[in-house]
Amino acid sequence: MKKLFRYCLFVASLILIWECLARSGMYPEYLFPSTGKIFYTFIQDSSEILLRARYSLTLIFLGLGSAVVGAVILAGASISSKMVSEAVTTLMAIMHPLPGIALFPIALLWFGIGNKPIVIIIAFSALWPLIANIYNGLRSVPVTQLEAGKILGLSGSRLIFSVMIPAALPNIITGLRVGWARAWQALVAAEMVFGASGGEGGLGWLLYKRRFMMQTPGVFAGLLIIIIIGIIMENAILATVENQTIRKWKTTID
Amino acid sequence: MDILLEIKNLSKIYKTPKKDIVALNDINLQVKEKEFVTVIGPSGCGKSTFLRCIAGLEKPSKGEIRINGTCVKYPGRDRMMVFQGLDQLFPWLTVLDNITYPLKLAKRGKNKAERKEIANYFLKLVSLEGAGHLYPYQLSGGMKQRVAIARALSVCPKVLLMDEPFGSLDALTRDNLQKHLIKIWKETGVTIIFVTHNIEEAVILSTRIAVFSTGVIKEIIENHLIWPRIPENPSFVAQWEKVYSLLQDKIEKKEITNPLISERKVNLAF
Repeated sequence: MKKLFRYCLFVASLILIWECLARSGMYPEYLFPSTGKIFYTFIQDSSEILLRARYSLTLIFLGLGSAVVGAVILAGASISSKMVSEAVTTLMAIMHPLPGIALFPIALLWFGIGNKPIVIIIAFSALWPLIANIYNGLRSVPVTQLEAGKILGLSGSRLIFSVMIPAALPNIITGLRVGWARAWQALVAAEMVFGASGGEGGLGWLLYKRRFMMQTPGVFAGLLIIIIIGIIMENAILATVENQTIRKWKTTID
Repeated sequence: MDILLEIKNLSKIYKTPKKDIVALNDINLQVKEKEFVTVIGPSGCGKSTFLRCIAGLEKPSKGEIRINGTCVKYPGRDRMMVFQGLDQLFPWLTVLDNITYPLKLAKRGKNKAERKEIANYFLKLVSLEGAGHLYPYQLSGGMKQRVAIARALSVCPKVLLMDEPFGSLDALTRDNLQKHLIKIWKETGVTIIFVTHNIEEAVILSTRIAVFSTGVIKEIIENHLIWPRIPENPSFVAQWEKVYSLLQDKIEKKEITNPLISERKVNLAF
Protein backbone atom coordinates (compact mmCIF):
# COMPACT_ATOMS: atom_id res chain seq x y z
CA MET A 1 0.00 0.00 0.00
CA LYS A 2 2.84 2.34 0.95
CA LYS A 3 4.54 1.42 -2.31
CA LEU A 4 1.40 2.24 -4.29
CA PHE A 5 1.15 5.58 -2.50
CA ARG A 6 4.74 6.47 -3.36
CA TYR A 7 4.11 5.42 -6.94
CA CYS A 8 1.05 7.66 -7.23
CA LEU A 9 2.90 10.52 -5.56
CA PHE A 10 5.71 10.24 -8.07
CA VAL A 11 3.36 10.19 -11.06
CA ALA A 12 1.38 13.11 -9.62
CA SER A 13 4.53 15.19 -9.24
CA LEU A 14 5.51 14.44 -12.84
CA ILE A 15 2.08 15.66 -13.97
CA LEU A 16 2.48 18.73 -11.78
CA ILE A 17 5.84 19.60 -13.34
CA TRP A 18 4.30 19.20 -16.78
CA GLU A 19 1.39 21.43 -15.86
CA CYS A 20 3.72 24.12 -14.46
CA LEU A 21 5.77 24.12 -17.64
CA ALA A 22 2.65 24.29 -19.81
CA ARG A 23 1.23 27.22 -17.85
CA SER A 24 4.51 29.11 -17.58
CA GLY A 25 4.03 30.43 -21.09
CA MET A 26 7.55 29.47 -22.07
CA TYR A 27 6.28 27.32 -24.90
CA PRO A 28 3.40 27.92 -27.29
CA GLU A 29 0.28 26.02 -26.35
CA TYR A 30 0.01 24.22 -29.67
CA LEU A 31 3.37 22.56 -28.99
CA PHE A 32 3.09 22.03 -25.24
CA PRO A 33 -0.56 21.50 -24.32
CA SER A 34 -1.70 21.50 -20.70
CA THR A 35 -2.45 18.21 -18.95
CA GLY A 36 -6.12 19.12 -18.81
CA LYS A 37 -6.27 19.43 -22.58
CA ILE A 38 -4.46 16.13 -23.05
CA PHE A 39 -6.85 14.30 -20.70
CA TYR A 40 -9.82 16.00 -22.33
CA THR A 41 -8.67 14.88 -25.79
CA PHE A 42 -7.96 11.44 -24.41
CA ILE A 43 -11.51 11.08 -23.13
CA GLN A 44 -13.09 12.61 -26.20
CA ASP A 45 -10.95 10.57 -28.55
CA SER A 46 -11.16 7.43 -26.42
CA SER A 47 -13.25 5.35 -28.80
CA GLU A 48 -10.74 5.79 -31.61
CA ILE A 49 -7.74 5.50 -29.28
CA LEU A 50 -9.03 2.22 -27.84
CA LEU A 51 -9.79 0.87 -31.28
CA ARG A 52 -6.26 1.71 -32.45
CA ALA A 53 -4.81 0.29 -29.26
CA ARG A 54 -6.68 -2.97 -29.76
CA TYR A 55 -5.49 -3.12 -33.32
CA SER A 56 -1.87 -2.55 -32.27
CA LEU A 57 -2.07 -5.05 -29.42
CA THR A 58 -3.32 -7.74 -31.77
CA LEU A 59 -0.29 -7.19 -34.00
CA ILE A 60 2.03 -7.12 -30.97
CA PHE A 61 0.72 -10.41 -29.58
CA LEU A 62 0.90 -12.10 -32.97
CA GLY A 63 4.48 -10.91 -33.49
CA LEU A 64 5.70 -11.35 -29.94
CA GLY A 65 3.94 -14.71 -29.60
CA SER A 66 5.65 -16.15 -32.67
CA ALA A 67 8.96 -14.63 -31.53
CA VAL A 68 8.63 -16.39 -28.14
CA VAL A 69 7.87 -19.74 -29.77
CA GLY A 70 10.75 -19.30 -32.19
CA ALA A 71 13.14 -18.19 -29.45
CA VAL A 72 12.31 -21.16 -27.19
CA ILE A 73 12.85 -23.58 -30.08
CA LEU A 74 16.12 -21.97 -31.20
CA ALA A 75 17.48 -21.54 -27.68
CA GLY A 76 16.50 -25.11 -26.83
CA ALA A 77 18.19 -26.42 -29.96
CA SER A 78 21.27 -24.32 -29.20
CA ILE A 79 21.61 -25.78 -25.74
CA SER A 80 21.26 -29.33 -27.10
CA SER A 81 23.64 -29.09 -30.04
CA LYS A 82 26.94 -27.31 -30.35
CA MET A 83 26.52 -26.93 -34.09
CA VAL A 84 23.14 -25.23 -33.77
CA SER A 85 24.52 -23.07 -30.99
CA GLU A 86 27.34 -21.83 -33.21
CA ALA A 87 24.95 -21.14 -36.08
CA VAL A 88 22.49 -19.27 -33.85
CA THR A 89 25.26 -17.25 -32.19
CA THR A 90 26.61 -16.20 -35.58
CA LEU A 91 23.14 -15.38 -36.83
CA MET A 92 22.52 -13.34 -33.71
CA ALA A 93 25.73 -11.37 -34.23
CA ILE A 94 24.53 -10.50 -37.74
CA MET A 95 20.86 -9.86 -37.01
CA HIS A 96 20.73 -8.41 -33.51
CA PRO A 97 22.27 -5.01 -34.37
CA LEU A 98 19.88 -4.59 -37.32
CA PRO A 99 16.94 -2.36 -36.38
CA GLY A 100 13.76 -4.14 -37.38
CA ILE A 101 12.48 -1.02 -39.09
CA ALA A 102 15.50 -1.05 -41.43
CA LEU A 103 14.19 -4.30 -42.84
CA PHE A 104 10.66 -3.01 -43.26
CA PRO A 105 11.07 -1.95 -46.92
CA ILE A 106 12.22 -5.47 -47.74
CA ALA A 107 9.37 -6.95 -45.73
CA LEU A 108 6.94 -4.80 -47.70
CA LEU A 109 8.40 -6.04 -50.97
CA TRP A 110 8.39 -9.66 -49.89
CA PHE A 111 5.12 -9.89 -48.01
CA GLY A 112 3.08 -7.11 -49.58
CA ILE A 113 1.11 -4.30 -48.02
CA GLY A 114 -0.97 -5.04 -44.95
CA ASN A 115 -0.37 -6.39 -41.50
CA LYS A 116 1.87 -9.25 -42.48
CA PRO A 117 5.09 -7.24 -42.88
CA ILE A 118 4.40 -5.40 -39.60
CA VAL A 119 3.89 -8.62 -37.67
CA ILE A 120 7.04 -10.06 -39.23
CA ILE A 121 9.09 -7.01 -38.31
CA ILE A 122 7.73 -7.14 -34.75
CA ALA A 123 8.67 -10.82 -34.51
CA PHE A 124 12.11 -10.11 -35.96
CA SER A 125 12.77 -7.25 -33.55
CA ALA A 126 11.73 -9.25 -30.48
CA LEU A 127 13.29 -12.56 -31.51
CA TRP A 128 16.97 -11.74 -30.97
CA PRO A 129 16.83 -10.27 -27.47
CA LEU A 130 14.53 -13.16 -26.54
CA ILE A 131 16.96 -15.79 -27.84
CA ALA A 132 19.92 -14.06 -26.21
CA ASN A 133 18.22 -14.00 -22.81
CA ILE A 134 16.63 -17.44 -22.95
CA TYR A 135 19.83 -19.09 -24.15
CA ASN A 136 21.84 -17.29 -21.49
CA GLY A 137 19.32 -18.45 -18.88
CA LEU A 138 19.43 -22.07 -20.04
CA ARG A 139 23.22 -22.01 -19.91
CA SER A 140 23.35 -20.68 -16.37
CA VAL A 141 21.21 -23.42 -14.81
CA PRO A 142 23.03 -24.73 -11.70
CA VAL A 143 24.95 -27.85 -12.71
CA THR A 144 23.71 -29.76 -9.65
CA GLN A 145 20.07 -29.17 -10.60
CA LEU A 146 20.77 -30.23 -14.15
CA GLU A 147 22.47 -33.42 -12.97
CA ALA A 148 19.72 -34.05 -10.44
CA GLY A 149 17.31 -33.93 -13.36
CA LYS A 150 19.44 -36.40 -15.33
CA ILE A 151 19.66 -38.72 -12.34
CA LEU A 152 15.86 -38.66 -12.11
CA GLY A 153 15.80 -39.99 -15.66
CA LEU A 154 15.13 -36.80 -17.62
CA SER A 155 16.82 -36.09 -20.92
CA GLY A 156 16.36 -34.10 -24.11
CA SER A 157 13.33 -31.86 -24.34
CA ARG A 158 11.90 -33.16 -21.05
CA LEU A 159 15.04 -31.99 -19.27
CA ILE A 160 14.76 -28.62 -20.99
CA PHE A 161 11.10 -28.08 -20.14
CA SER A 162 11.05 -29.61 -16.66
CA VAL A 163 14.35 -28.34 -15.29
CA MET A 164 16.12 -25.85 -17.49
CA ILE A 165 13.23 -23.54 -18.34
CA PRO A 166 11.95 -23.16 -14.75
CA ALA A 167 15.51 -22.57 -13.62
CA ALA A 168 16.06 -20.03 -16.39
CA LEU A 169 12.86 -18.14 -15.66
CA PRO A 170 14.54 -14.97 -14.28
CA ASN A 171 16.37 -14.58 -17.61
CA ILE A 172 13.31 -15.55 -19.62
CA ILE A 173 11.25 -12.83 -17.93
CA THR A 174 14.00 -10.30 -18.66
CA GLY A 175 13.91 -11.46 -22.27
CA LEU A 176 10.14 -10.95 -22.39
CA ARG A 177 10.56 -7.43 -21.02
CA VAL A 178 13.13 -6.50 -23.65
CA GLY A 179 11.19 -8.30 -26.38
CA TRP A 180 7.99 -6.47 -25.44
CA ALA A 181 9.74 -3.10 -25.62
CA ARG A 182 11.35 -3.95 -28.95
CA ALA A 183 8.03 -5.11 -30.33
CA TRP A 184 6.38 -1.79 -29.50
CA GLN A 185 9.25 0.17 -30.94
CA ALA A 186 9.04 -1.80 -34.17
CA LEU A 187 5.26 -1.51 -34.39
CA VAL A 188 5.02 2.23 -33.82
CA ALA A 189 7.96 2.94 -36.10
CA ALA A 190 6.57 0.79 -38.89
CA GLU A 191 3.11 2.37 -38.69
CA MET A 192 4.51 5.85 -38.51
CA VAL A 193 6.89 5.54 -41.41
CA PHE A 194 4.77 3.49 -43.72
CA GLY A 195 1.30 4.41 -42.60
CA ALA A 196 -1.58 2.03 -42.49
CA SER A 197 -3.34 0.01 -45.06
CA GLY A 198 -6.90 0.73 -46.12
CA GLY A 199 -7.80 3.17 -43.36
CA GLU A 200 -7.05 0.62 -40.69
CA GLY A 201 -4.08 1.18 -38.46
CA GLY A 202 -2.76 1.13 -34.95
CA LEU A 203 -1.39 3.63 -32.51
CA GLY A 204 1.60 4.56 -34.65
CA TRP A 205 -0.78 5.54 -37.40
CA LEU A 206 -2.87 7.52 -34.92
CA LEU A 207 0.20 9.48 -33.74
CA TYR A 208 1.17 10.15 -37.30
CA LYS A 209 -2.31 11.36 -38.27
CA ARG A 210 -2.61 13.65 -35.24
CA ARG A 211 0.79 15.20 -35.88
CA PHE A 212 -0.08 15.70 -39.51
CA MET A 213 -3.22 17.61 -38.50
CA MET A 214 -1.23 19.59 -35.89
CA GLN A 215 -3.42 18.13 -33.11
CA THR A 216 -0.68 18.06 -30.49
CA PRO A 217 -2.99 17.05 -27.59
CA GLY A 218 -4.07 14.11 -29.73
CA VAL A 219 -0.42 13.08 -30.18
CA PHE A 220 0.06 13.14 -26.42
CA ALA A 221 -3.19 11.28 -25.88
CA GLY A 222 -1.80 8.56 -28.16
CA LEU A 223 1.45 8.50 -26.20
CA LEU A 224 -0.56 8.30 -22.98
CA ILE A 225 -2.29 5.09 -24.03
CA ILE A 226 1.07 3.54 -24.98
CA ILE A 227 2.35 4.45 -21.51
CA ILE A 228 -0.78 3.04 -19.86
CA ILE A 229 -0.49 -0.23 -21.78
CA GLY A 230 3.19 -0.41 -20.76
CA ILE A 231 2.31 0.15 -17.10
CA ILE A 232 -0.41 -2.52 -17.20
CA MET A 233 1.98 -4.98 -18.83
CA GLU A 234 4.72 -4.28 -16.30
CA ASN A 235 2.72 -3.96 -13.09
CA ALA A 236 -0.21 -6.23 -13.71
CA ILE A 237 1.07 -8.99 -15.96
CA LEU A 238 4.85 -9.28 -15.57
CA ALA A 239 4.78 -8.43 -11.86
CA THR A 240 2.11 -11.09 -11.28
CA VAL A 241 4.11 -13.65 -13.19
CA GLU A 242 7.17 -12.76 -11.11
CA ASN A 243 5.27 -12.88 -7.83
CA GLN A 244 3.87 -16.28 -8.68
CA THR A 245 7.22 -17.69 -9.78
CA ILE A 246 10.72 -16.39 -9.18
CA ARG A 247 9.82 -14.17 -6.21
CA LYS A 248 7.84 -16.98 -4.61
CA TRP A 249 10.75 -19.39 -5.06
CA LYS A 250 13.32 -16.73 -4.15
CA THR A 251 15.42 -17.64 -7.17
CA THR A 252 15.95 -13.93 -7.68
CA ILE A 253 16.87 -11.08 -5.36
CA ASP A 254 13.99 -8.71 -4.60
CA MET B 1 24.30 -62.00 0.10
CA ASP B 2 24.18 -61.45 -3.63
CA ILE B 3 26.49 -59.16 -5.49
CA LEU B 4 24.52 -56.12 -6.60
CA LEU B 5 27.08 -53.87 -8.16
CA GLU B 6 30.12 -54.99 -10.03
CA ILE B 7 32.80 -52.64 -11.30
CA LYS B 8 35.28 -54.23 -13.66
CA ASN B 9 38.53 -52.67 -14.93
CA LEU B 10 37.03 -49.20 -14.76
CA SER B 11 39.27 -46.47 -16.17
CA LYS B 12 38.54 -42.85 -16.86
CA ILE B 13 40.97 -40.72 -18.81
CA TYR B 14 40.40 -37.04 -19.49
CA LYS B 15 42.04 -36.04 -22.73
CA THR B 16 43.47 -32.53 -22.69
CA PRO B 17 45.60 -30.95 -25.43
CA LYS B 18 48.74 -31.10 -23.30
CA LYS B 19 48.48 -34.54 -21.78
CA ASP B 20 45.98 -37.16 -20.74
CA ILE B 21 44.86 -37.07 -17.14
CA VAL B 22 44.15 -40.46 -15.65
CA ALA B 23 41.35 -39.99 -13.12
CA LEU B 24 40.61 -43.69 -12.62
CA ASN B 25 43.01 -46.47 -13.40
CA ASP B 26 41.67 -50.00 -13.65
CA ILE B 27 39.30 -50.01 -10.68
CA ASN B 28 37.68 -53.24 -9.57
CA LEU B 29 35.04 -53.39 -6.87
CA GLN B 30 32.14 -55.60 -5.94
CA VAL B 31 29.37 -54.35 -3.74
CA LYS B 32 26.91 -56.72 -2.12
CA GLU B 33 23.30 -55.94 -1.41
CA LYS B 34 22.65 -53.89 1.73
CA GLU B 35 26.29 -52.94 2.03
CA PHE B 36 27.40 -49.48 3.05
CA VAL B 37 30.66 -48.66 1.31
CA THR B 38 32.52 -45.42 1.86
CA VAL B 39 35.06 -44.21 -0.66
CA ILE B 40 37.73 -42.08 0.95
CA GLY B 41 40.71 -40.21 -0.40
CA PRO B 42 42.24 -36.76 -0.76
CA SER B 43 40.89 -34.18 -3.21
CA GLY B 44 41.56 -35.08 -6.82
CA CYS B 45 42.04 -38.79 -6.19
CA GLY B 46 39.17 -39.68 -8.49
CA LYS B 47 36.62 -40.68 -5.87
CA SER B 48 33.95 -38.33 -7.19
CA THR B 49 34.66 -39.39 -10.77
CA PHE B 50 34.23 -42.98 -9.65
CA LEU B 51 30.80 -42.23 -8.21
CA ARG B 52 29.78 -40.18 -11.24
CA CYS B 53 30.72 -43.08 -13.51
CA ILE B 54 28.42 -45.38 -11.54
CA ALA B 55 25.67 -42.75 -11.72
CA GLY B 56 26.08 -42.56 -15.49
CA LEU B 57 26.99 -38.89 -15.44
CA GLU B 58 30.48 -39.70 -16.78
CA LYS B 59 31.27 -42.24 -19.47
CA PRO B 60 34.00 -44.70 -18.51
CA SER B 61 36.97 -44.76 -20.87
CA LYS B 62 37.44 -48.46 -20.25
CA GLY B 63 35.76 -51.18 -18.27
CA GLU B 64 32.18 -51.72 -17.24
CA ILE B 65 29.70 -51.26 -14.45
CA ARG B 66 27.10 -53.92 -13.87
CA ILE B 67 24.02 -53.85 -11.68
CA ASN B 68 22.49 -57.27 -11.15
CA GLY B 69 24.48 -58.34 -14.18
CA THR B 70 23.23 -55.65 -16.56
CA CYS B 71 25.70 -53.16 -17.90
CA VAL B 72 24.82 -49.52 -17.19
CA LYS B 73 25.78 -46.64 -19.41
CA TYR B 74 23.30 -43.86 -18.70
CA PRO B 75 21.76 -42.31 -15.60
CA GLY B 76 18.83 -44.28 -14.28
CA ARG B 77 16.51 -44.37 -11.34
CA ASP B 78 18.08 -47.58 -10.08
CA ARG B 79 21.07 -45.46 -9.05
CA MET B 80 20.01 -42.29 -7.30
CA MET B 81 22.58 -39.70 -6.34
CA VAL B 82 22.72 -37.16 -3.53
CA PHE B 83 25.10 -34.30 -4.29
CA GLN B 84 27.21 -32.13 -2.05
CA GLY B 85 25.67 -28.88 -3.28
CA LEU B 86 22.81 -27.36 -1.32
CA ASP B 87 21.11 -26.37 -4.58
CA GLN B 88 20.17 -29.83 -5.80
CA LEU B 89 16.47 -29.51 -4.95
CA PHE B 90 14.30 -27.80 -7.55
CA PRO B 91 13.60 -24.35 -6.08
CA TRP B 92 10.34 -24.01 -8.04
CA LEU B 93 8.78 -27.02 -6.35
CA THR B 94 7.71 -27.38 -2.74
CA VAL B 95 9.46 -29.99 -0.61
CA LEU B 96 6.56 -32.38 -1.20
CA ASP B 97 6.52 -31.80 -4.96
CA ASN B 98 10.28 -32.28 -5.09
CA ILE B 99 9.50 -35.85 -4.05
CA THR B 100 6.20 -36.46 -5.84
CA TYR B 101 7.69 -35.31 -9.14
CA PRO B 102 10.30 -38.11 -9.31
CA LEU B 103 7.59 -40.53 -8.16
CA LYS B 104 5.50 -39.47 -11.13
CA LEU B 105 8.49 -39.98 -13.44
CA ALA B 106 9.09 -43.40 -11.91
CA LYS B 107 5.37 -44.21 -12.29
CA ARG B 108 5.10 -45.01 -8.60
CA GLY B 109 1.73 -44.48 -7.03
CA LYS B 110 -1.52 -44.68 -8.99
CA ASN B 111 -2.60 -41.07 -8.50
CA LYS B 112 -1.66 -37.77 -6.93
CA ALA B 113 -3.03 -38.70 -3.52
CA GLU B 114 -1.10 -41.94 -3.44
CA ARG B 115 2.12 -40.24 -4.49
CA LYS B 116 1.58 -37.66 -1.79
CA GLU B 117 1.23 -40.47 0.71
CA ILE B 118 4.49 -42.09 -0.42
CA ALA B 119 6.26 -38.72 -0.33
CA ASN B 120 5.04 -38.09 3.19
CA TYR B 121 6.30 -41.51 4.27
CA PHE B 122 9.80 -40.65 3.06
CA LEU B 123 9.65 -37.18 4.60
CA LYS B 124 8.84 -38.87 7.89
CA LEU B 125 11.78 -41.21 7.37
CA VAL B 126 14.10 -38.19 7.35
CA SER B 127 12.15 -36.57 10.22
CA LEU B 128 10.76 -33.78 8.10
CA GLU B 129 7.06 -34.54 8.40
CA GLY B 130 5.11 -31.30 8.19
CA ALA B 131 7.73 -29.53 6.07
CA GLY B 132 6.14 -30.59 2.79
CA HIS B 133 4.55 -27.23 2.01
CA LEU B 134 7.82 -25.29 2.32
CA TYR B 135 9.93 -24.15 -0.59
CA PRO B 136 13.64 -25.11 -0.64
CA TYR B 137 14.78 -21.56 0.17
CA GLN B 138 12.96 -21.84 3.50
CA LEU B 139 15.04 -24.84 4.58
CA SER B 140 18.36 -24.97 6.37
CA GLY B 141 21.31 -26.73 4.74
CA GLY B 142 20.79 -29.90 6.77
CA MET B 143 17.08 -29.99 5.96
CA LYS B 144 17.82 -29.57 2.26
CA GLN B 145 20.16 -32.55 2.32
CA ARG B 146 17.58 -34.62 4.18
CA VAL B 147 14.94 -33.79 1.54
CA ALA B 148 17.48 -34.76 -1.13
CA ILE B 149 17.96 -38.11 0.61
CA ALA B 150 14.20 -38.58 0.86
CA ARG B 151 13.80 -37.73 -2.82
CA ALA B 152 16.51 -40.20 -3.79
CA LEU B 153 15.06 -43.00 -1.67
CA SER B 154 11.46 -42.41 -2.72
CA VAL B 155 11.93 -44.00 -6.14
CA CYS B 156 13.39 -47.13 -4.48
CA PRO B 157 16.82 -47.19 -6.08
CA LYS B 158 19.01 -50.26 -5.93
CA VAL B 159 21.99 -48.14 -4.99
CA LEU B 160 22.14 -44.80 -3.26
CA LEU B 161 25.18 -42.81 -4.38
CA MET B 162 26.25 -40.02 -2.07
CA ASP B 163 28.91 -37.53 -3.10
CA GLU B 164 30.09 -35.80 0.08
CA PRO B 165 26.48 -34.97 0.93
CA PHE B 166 27.38 -33.55 4.33
CA GLY B 167 30.47 -31.71 3.10
CA SER B 168 28.82 -28.28 3.13
CA LEU B 169 27.32 -28.64 6.61
CA ASP B 170 28.53 -27.59 10.05
CA ALA B 171 29.93 -30.23 12.40
CA LEU B 172 26.81 -30.52 14.59
CA THR B 173 24.39 -30.90 11.69
CA ARG B 174 26.78 -33.33 10.10
CA ASP B 175 26.84 -35.46 13.23
CA ASN B 176 23.07 -35.43 13.36
CA LEU B 177 22.70 -36.38 9.71
CA GLN B 178 25.18 -39.22 10.03
CA LYS B 179 23.02 -40.74 12.77
CA HIS B 180 20.00 -40.22 10.58
CA LEU B 181 21.61 -41.89 7.63
CA ILE B 182 22.56 -44.97 9.65
CA LYS B 183 18.98 -45.23 10.85
CA ILE B 184 17.63 -44.88 7.31
CA TRP B 185 20.10 -47.43 5.98
CA LYS B 186 19.11 -49.94 8.65
CA GLU B 187 15.40 -49.31 8.10
CA THR B 188 15.35 -49.43 4.32
CA GLY B 189 18.25 -51.80 3.71
CA VAL B 190 19.35 -49.77 0.70
CA THR B 191 22.87 -50.26 -0.64
CA ILE B 192 24.92 -47.11 -0.20
CA ILE B 193 28.15 -45.88 -1.76
CA PHE B 194 29.29 -42.80 0.07
CA VAL B 195 32.17 -40.56 -0.97
CA THR B 196 33.90 -38.56 1.74
CA HIS B 197 37.28 -37.17 2.73
CA ASN B 198 36.48 -37.35 6.41
CA ILE B 199 37.98 -40.44 8.07
CA GLU B 200 35.71 -40.26 11.11
CA GLU B 201 32.66 -40.11 8.86
CA ALA B 202 33.84 -43.17 6.95
CA VAL B 203 34.45 -45.19 10.11
CA ILE B 204 31.15 -44.14 11.70
CA LEU B 205 29.01 -44.95 8.68
CA SER B 206 30.20 -47.80 6.60
CA THR B 207 30.72 -51.54 6.58
CA ARG B 208 33.61 -51.24 4.14
CA ILE B 209 36.04 -48.43 3.43
CA ALA B 210 37.69 -48.16 0.02
CA VAL B 211 40.80 -46.02 0.32
CA PHE B 212 41.51 -44.22 -2.94
CA SER B 213 44.85 -42.95 -4.08
CA THR B 214 45.25 -41.08 -7.38
CA GLY B 215 42.92 -43.18 -9.44
CA VAL B 216 43.35 -46.59 -7.82
CA ILE B 217 41.85 -48.35 -4.83
CA LYS B 218 44.77 -48.67 -2.47
CA GLU B 219 43.07 -50.90 0.00
CA ILE B 220 39.61 -51.99 1.06
CA ILE B 221 39.15 -52.13 4.83
CA GLU B 222 36.38 -54.17 6.38
CA ASN B 223 34.68 -52.11 9.05
CA HIS B 224 32.53 -54.16 11.38
CA LEU B 225 32.61 -52.10 14.55
CA ILE B 226 29.55 -52.56 16.69
CA TRP B 227 26.80 -49.93 16.67
CA PRO B 228 26.55 -47.28 17.96
CA ARG B 229 30.05 -46.33 16.94
CA ILE B 230 31.61 -43.94 19.38
CA PRO B 231 34.78 -42.13 18.25
CA GLU B 232 36.32 -42.45 21.76
CA ASN B 233 36.26 -46.27 21.68
CA PRO B 234 39.72 -47.87 21.32
CA SER B 235 38.50 -50.07 18.45
CA PHE B 236 37.18 -46.99 16.66
CA VAL B 237 40.48 -45.19 17.18
CA ALA B 238 42.39 -48.20 15.86
CA GLN B 239 40.23 -48.28 12.74
CA TRP B 240 40.61 -44.54 12.30
CA GLU B 241 44.39 -44.81 12.54
CA LYS B 242 44.44 -47.61 10.02
CA VAL B 243 42.69 -45.46 7.44
CA TYR B 244 44.74 -42.44 8.44
CA SER B 245 48.06 -44.20 7.98
CA LEU B 246 46.99 -45.41 4.53
CA LEU B 247 46.10 -41.87 3.49
CA GLN B 248 49.13 -40.35 5.21
CA ASP B 249 51.48 -42.73 3.49
CA LYS B 250 50.19 -41.46 0.20
CA ILE B 251 50.56 -37.80 1.09
CA GLU B 252 54.17 -38.23 2.20
CA LYS B 253 55.10 -39.93 -1.01
CA LYS B 254 53.48 -37.12 -2.96
CA GLU B 255 55.55 -34.58 -1.08
CA ILE B 256 58.77 -36.21 -2.12
CA THR B 257 57.83 -36.41 -5.75
CA ASN B 258 56.08 -33.07 -6.00
CA PRO B 259 58.42 -30.85 -8.05
CA LEU B 260 56.81 -27.67 -6.76
CA ILE B 261 57.62 -28.48 -3.19
CA SER B 262 61.19 -29.56 -3.84
CA GLU B 263 61.67 -26.34 -5.76
CA ARG B 264 60.44 -24.34 -2.82
CA LYS B 265 62.90 -26.12 -0.59
CA VAL B 266 65.73 -25.12 -2.89
CA ASN B 267 64.56 -21.54 -2.76
CA LEU B 268 64.47 -21.55 1.00
CA ALA B 269 68.00 -22.93 1.17
CA PHE B 270 69.16 -20.18 -1.10
